[in-house]
Amino acid sequence: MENNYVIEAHGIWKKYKGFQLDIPELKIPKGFATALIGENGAGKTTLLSIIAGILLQYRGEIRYFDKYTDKDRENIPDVKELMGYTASGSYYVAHWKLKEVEKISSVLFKGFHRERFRQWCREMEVGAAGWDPKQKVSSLSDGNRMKLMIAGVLARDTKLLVMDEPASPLDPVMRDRLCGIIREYLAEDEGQRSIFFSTHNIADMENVTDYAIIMERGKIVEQGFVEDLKEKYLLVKGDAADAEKVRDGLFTCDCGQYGFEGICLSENLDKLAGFQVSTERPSLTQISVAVMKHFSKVAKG
Amino acid sequence: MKRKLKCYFSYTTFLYRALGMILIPCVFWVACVAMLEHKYGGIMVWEEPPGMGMYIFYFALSVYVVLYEILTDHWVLGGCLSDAGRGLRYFRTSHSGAEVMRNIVMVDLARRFLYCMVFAAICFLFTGWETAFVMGLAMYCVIVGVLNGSRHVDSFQMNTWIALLAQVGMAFVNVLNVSLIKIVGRMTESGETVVIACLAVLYCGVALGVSKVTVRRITGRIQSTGEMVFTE
Repeated sequence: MENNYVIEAHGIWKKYKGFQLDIPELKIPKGFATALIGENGAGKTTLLSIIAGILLQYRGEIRYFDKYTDKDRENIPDVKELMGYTASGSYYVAHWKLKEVEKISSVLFKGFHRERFRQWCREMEVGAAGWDPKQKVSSLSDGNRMKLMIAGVLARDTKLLVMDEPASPLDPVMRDRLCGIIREYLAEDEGQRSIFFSTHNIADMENVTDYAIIMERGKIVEQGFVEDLKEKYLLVKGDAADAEKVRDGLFTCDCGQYGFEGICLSENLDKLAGFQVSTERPSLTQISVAVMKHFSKVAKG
Repeated sequence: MKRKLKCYFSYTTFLYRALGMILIPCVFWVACVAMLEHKYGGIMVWEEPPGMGMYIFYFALSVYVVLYEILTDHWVLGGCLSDAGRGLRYFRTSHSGAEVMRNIVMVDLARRFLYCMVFAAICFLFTGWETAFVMGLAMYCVIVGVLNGSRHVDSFQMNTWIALLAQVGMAFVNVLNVSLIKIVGRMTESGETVVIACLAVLYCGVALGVSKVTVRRITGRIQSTGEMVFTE
């Protein structure tokens, strides 16, 4: 029977000095865009690097495309051919020119299409001239380097994109375009392609996120389809005078001079009975911030 | 072989190929020929058999070759073993990354070996001086040995210092070789030829060893043996 997960991981464990990634189970649904959300140092880059096969020393098992193990990832060409990875900083050698990026990519990946790469470079305007084969990677801005990496993975025949902070260095217009690119990518081979990306720009990426995973200090603290999370949590607003009384029933609470605003688990709504509160459907940003605040050391001071 | 060369030429920049692989070595080779071509009025006139002038020339030549080989490596594999792992992370995203990198390193080593041997051959052709091959092999060992260390360094400035120190090292190796050939050669009945042959065998072994280590260390960074720590 076919499984609906593009990635299934069990017992992922990795330790650095002062940090421990510990994920008993991770399931990335197939055919959707999954956002990995978390504070700085939550372990997002580490997790993505492990999945992409960049970090190789870890404990645990990963299953790709319901077919391959992480051992296969290193031994069979298919897994890495089907998976495109973009890093948070550029992984191209700084003194390479665009034509060298193209040449070395075509040597590294069988499914790399040179013409498609040039087309994406032109379309995303990588550098001033769009496609200038003589332009050096070092002369590109952070945003353009990210566009170059995105062009590099889109020029290949992949089924999964693993992207570390793709939106962070991009301008608002390009972020909007990135959302469009993600939608086009998922739609092209309906139900067969998936994207797993980390982001701090939840608001910008919200309309393209289907599934969200929230991490805190190396652990997954919340996950689910965005629509389900919006059912699970409620945005509660009320008078400032009631703030202290309702605090126990809320997941997080921000109190101002005139009123309070907080996130509450839908199942705990009865705890707020008798208080003058209004409820709204929260955005993914509001849910994510609330969950991160609830578990964060930084937010608690 | 075609694939190996394709990998190498895809990885190296045009500037490096033009300067590091053609122009600078040609200048050295032409200078080498011009200075050694004494029969037809070359710049230097050598004693027969080759004496101190020849040694000084070859010492100077070898230390400059070491300098240029280490400095120009900055545009090929410079800093590839450093924490930032220049470009190696991209190779890890591909299944053939380790194989492609192995091809690049092997062609690079073959190219360096060939160039060192061309110097030795030019010297031998014009002077009949067998020690030139020992010098060529020693030059290759020093270059590749130092590159194994200098590739941990990302900064060009630091690499320049390493290259200058390597020059001193090369000069020392040259003195050691000539001293051994002269002193031990006089002490044995069979003379300098046996010492030269022994040194050549020794340097061949060392060259093979450092080449293996180089290939293993760089490809090891892409394969499971290497843990990469990235600093953005």
